[in-house]
Amino acid sequence: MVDPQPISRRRAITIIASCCAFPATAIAGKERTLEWKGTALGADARIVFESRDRAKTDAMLATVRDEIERLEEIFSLYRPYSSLATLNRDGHLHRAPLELIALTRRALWYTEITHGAFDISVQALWDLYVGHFSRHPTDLLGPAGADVAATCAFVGPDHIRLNNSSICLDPGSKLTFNGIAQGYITDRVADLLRQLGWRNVLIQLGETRAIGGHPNGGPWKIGLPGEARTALFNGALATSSADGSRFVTNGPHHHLFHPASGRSATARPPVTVTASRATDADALSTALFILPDSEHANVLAKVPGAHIVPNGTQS
Amino acid sequence: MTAPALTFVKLWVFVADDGLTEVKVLSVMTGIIAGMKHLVLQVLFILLLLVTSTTKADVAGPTANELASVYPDAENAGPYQGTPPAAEVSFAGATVGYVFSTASVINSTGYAGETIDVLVGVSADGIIQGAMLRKHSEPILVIGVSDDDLTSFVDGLAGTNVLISAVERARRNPENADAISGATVSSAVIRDAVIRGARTVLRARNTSAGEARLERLTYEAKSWPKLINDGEVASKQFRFADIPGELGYDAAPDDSFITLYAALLTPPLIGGNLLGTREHEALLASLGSGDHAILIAANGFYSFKGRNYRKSGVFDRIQIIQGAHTIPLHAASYRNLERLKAVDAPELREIGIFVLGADTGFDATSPWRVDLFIDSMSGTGTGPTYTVSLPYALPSSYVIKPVLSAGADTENPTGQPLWQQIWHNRRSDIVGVGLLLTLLTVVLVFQDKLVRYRQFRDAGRLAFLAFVLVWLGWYAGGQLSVLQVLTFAHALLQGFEWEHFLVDPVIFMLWGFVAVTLLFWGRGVYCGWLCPFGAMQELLNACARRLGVPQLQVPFAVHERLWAIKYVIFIGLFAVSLHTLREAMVLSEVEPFKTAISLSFIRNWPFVLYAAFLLLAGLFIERFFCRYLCPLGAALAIPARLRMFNWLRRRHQCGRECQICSERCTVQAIHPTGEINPNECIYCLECQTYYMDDHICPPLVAARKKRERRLALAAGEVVNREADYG
Repeated sequence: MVDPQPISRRRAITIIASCCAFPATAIAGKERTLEWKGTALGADARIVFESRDRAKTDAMLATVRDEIERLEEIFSLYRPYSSLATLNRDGHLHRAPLELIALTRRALWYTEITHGAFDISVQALWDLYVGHFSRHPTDLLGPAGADVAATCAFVGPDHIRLNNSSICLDPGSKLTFNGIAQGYITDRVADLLRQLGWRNVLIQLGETRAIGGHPNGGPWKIGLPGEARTALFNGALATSSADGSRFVTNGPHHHLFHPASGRSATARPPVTVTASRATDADALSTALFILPDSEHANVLAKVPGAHIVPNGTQS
Repeated sequence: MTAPALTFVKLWVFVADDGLTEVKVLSVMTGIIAGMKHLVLQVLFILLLLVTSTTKADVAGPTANELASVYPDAENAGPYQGTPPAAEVSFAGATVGYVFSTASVINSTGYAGETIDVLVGVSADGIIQGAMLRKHSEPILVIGVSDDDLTSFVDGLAGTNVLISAVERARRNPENADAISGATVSSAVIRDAVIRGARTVLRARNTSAGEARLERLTYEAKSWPKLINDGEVASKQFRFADIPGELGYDAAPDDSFITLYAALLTPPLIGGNLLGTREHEALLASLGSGDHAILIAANGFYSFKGRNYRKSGVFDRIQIIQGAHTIPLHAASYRNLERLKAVDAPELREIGIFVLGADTGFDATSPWRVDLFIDSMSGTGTGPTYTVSLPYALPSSYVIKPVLSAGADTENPTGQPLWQQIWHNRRSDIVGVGLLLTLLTVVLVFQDKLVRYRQFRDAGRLAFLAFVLVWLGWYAGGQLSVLQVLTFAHALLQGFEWEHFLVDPVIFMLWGFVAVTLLFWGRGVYCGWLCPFGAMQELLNACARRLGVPQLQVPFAVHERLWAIKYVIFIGLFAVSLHTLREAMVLSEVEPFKTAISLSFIRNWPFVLYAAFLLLAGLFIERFFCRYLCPLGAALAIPARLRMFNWLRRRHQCGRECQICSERCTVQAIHPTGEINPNECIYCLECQTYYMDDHICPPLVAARKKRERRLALAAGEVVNREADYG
């Protein structure tokens, strides 16, 4: 799981001579390609952009840091007074932030089109598994079937009710936005930068979003799990992998639960999805990891512009 | 007492002039170690390090008279207390400002390391109400400034806003004198003390002066296009092309999706123009303390208000973002507006006034933005959403910035210390002095070559002295004074700080040069080449000679005894300065420098008469003042004995066979016995031109004549031989 302790965001801007596949073609006097590193929702965050204006760069990075901080105050599970933590603790949240309402609505739509495979109410299962493995750190079987079945009773979209300003949960139900919020934060920051006039920026705040292409020309080349790379131009990309958070090293249990069974989804290679927006790519990669391959086409058809990236793609 | 053997402590008891007994403690050892850094000049005072004083600033609270003069509007003043100490001033029962003493608040010290005390009245919003100079021991304040100038300068500080930067202050009030002419440094020291002290008092008392404040007083009619153009109203158009295709909006890409407008309504200039002044005043009256109102308006296809707010009481499409802080907008704090009152304002589809309460944490002076959430075309809320933002930054003219933040204590926005600002401002003077000193160094290094060209030396020297008098003395204020020696001695004893000496770059450079030349050439380099008053005497005397004024040759025996007077004056001044620098300052008027150079003779008649008398005497006895009276010369002469080189050439015949140099020396610094007295020599190089002149110096004359005879003889021989053969 992600370490909840706060990580300093004061990271220096480092000039990167090259970005993965790109040999440095920095010409004196031209704009310099810069990289900012920080964290967003506990994951490493990175923004690659070009700029020669120090003041403009500083202002942009301040905006980015503020925006990440602001959205973490809404979506973080680990900040005790975030909107989400308050909702999970109290079971209801009135005058919820617009972002929480909008993203809950969108998540519920994904639950609908994935026939329940994508579900933000699996947080109760997460709590069960974390509790179990903290008591039995080497257990390979996982929680008892009866406990899982009992917990599954709190999982499902029917336990969530919302209007345009409030969210209510049934007792015992809890939400997690870890399958979609990183994509959402990535989108919000990307939209903000684009409206501020930035072009050719790569934003990786948990998930990946590209505004334009690489400053040196051509698309961004994004490394996938393994050796593969894929090209990205004006779009988003997200990967879901069981390796991200196994409860026991090499054990069968990980964070991507099948909401109906309450068990971790069957082991499979990582799933990478591209879409025009990182929110959609994030939700889809989570859902497609859980769903059998046969369902993928049906789901993807409902989201215009979304594609699964076949494993082993080289471009 | 870690090293009692090393620390020789001497107790000295003085009865000071105010009747208080001061115990003066000195650690000679510490003094010497500290002084090592300034070895060269310290040599001057090493013997006198036996005495020092630690002066405590004894500052009483303001008397009724003082209060009336520094805070005329004050009704009442509380006791003088707190940290830093200040007396609260009240009017109609409310605290309106403070009275404080710069000495007790920021321990304002100057050149001599002694207290400058200015009593200041400052209102809670940072305006100086009045100021009076209560005490100062600053030689730099005395040289060049009459008491009236000083008083009127300090009085003129009233009305100064201490919370704005110097640049801003100059912009608002360009006529305000920043300095007394001829005493820019002195003025800067006082001004800095007053402003820094006021800021310290206000900051410690947590008045509103600590935060950026909103300008809410000015009003002028302003049209809508101008409000937009000047950034008082932010606006941004979003076309359909700007909205992602996934949202499903289908229209001509260039059509307006929404044009958003936002403005802070609180300032009268913005709110009054947009709403009409009467409406605006009503709005302000409805606001609590710390509340603000903003305007959000729009035209186009999309509605920022939506419909849901009527039912749920929450606007679900817009919110305000400031930094990492989200401020939701509620129906309860919203009021619809039909139309804007500003001239040329367009008809807008939606206009809303939103009140942002103080509890929202909204900071009107910091930038914020409006976020507009755009639902998918379907309207179900389940489609992708998009957010557009309209940034708003209040124009800087509406933000009264405090200059109170850390590091901003000095006047300069860059936070430079005072002395650095002065060096920066006087860089042309610094370059001039640098060139002058370089030229002089070249002259001294190549003196043996130069003195061969007598005409050139004479004319060059007169030109140099004229430049020293006019530019260095009258223009750049480069006149050293014995007071600086006394001040330096005091500083060494009481805690030396470079900064005090750096405040006048010209004086600092001159003293640095004096320190070096003292060791190499003796005191004469300053006295003979760089002292503006010395230059004045010499130039006048040169004119007098040209006009045939007879010169008096003082018999050497008398002359030699009169030399001693200047040493007596110097020792006397030094002794008095150990008691109080202030008295020494008055007595140092024995120097006519202030009258003749700093004030260009614009002074009370006794001073002018005295200076004129000295100059008159100088017409008959060249450099009369230098020879017999100058305490600065005496101070420099004492260590001049330590000089390491003797580059003034003499012959063994000097003084025995020949008295030409000793008779012609302009200041009679050559003993009849032939040796040059380094204490008296002004290094004019006159004797060196004689030394090199084979028409004057007898041994050279003899050698020349011999040579000429030989040549004539040889020529004669040739003639004779030719005759023989002829």
